[in-house]
Amino acid sequence: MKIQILPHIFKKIGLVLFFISFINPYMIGFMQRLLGFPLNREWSTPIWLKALELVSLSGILFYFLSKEKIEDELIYNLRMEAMSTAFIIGLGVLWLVQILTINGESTMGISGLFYFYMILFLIIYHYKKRNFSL
Amino acid sequence: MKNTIKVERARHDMTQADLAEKISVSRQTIHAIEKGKFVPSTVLALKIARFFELKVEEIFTLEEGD
Repeated sequence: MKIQILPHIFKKIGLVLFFISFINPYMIGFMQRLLGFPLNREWSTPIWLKALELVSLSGILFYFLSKEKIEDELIYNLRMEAMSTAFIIGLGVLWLVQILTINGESTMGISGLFYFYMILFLIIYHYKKRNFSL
Repeated sequence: MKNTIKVERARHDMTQADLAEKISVSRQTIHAIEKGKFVPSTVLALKIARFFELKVEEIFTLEEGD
């Protein structure tokens, strides 16, 4: 089943949305600590963080729903391979996290799992694509 | 699976990009098929064979272990 219905440009839009909103909360915290600024409460309210999370998840959705420049069976196969590999590695990591936090509460939420999956998928997919181009 | 796409391309004086354009795939796909890194679907194999006016078996042949 081919679910890539958005034009190629949405792939870039999705990536930009994902990285900006994914990195933003960490960057703000890091910069505030590094430069010694007082913690700006406005940027770390639950609503703001929730909004960033929504933007980030929209970015993931845009990315997965958009086509490559040339959408053919090689790309389709590579995408499926990368998805299944990322899924298996993700499951392995989730298993490890559960073992390591057996006495406490796991800090990896559903969003965290999706972010991890997305980054893993991107690395595997681009590595495979590069391998096939050489 | 072996194939003679490179030979056929040379016979028709075509680049990978030319062939890719003719059968609506990317140049990387042609490259991957030629190198044996990717086995095309029956549809794509038929398209390639039809383009070169050959039978599929004349372009693609099984190797030992396939």
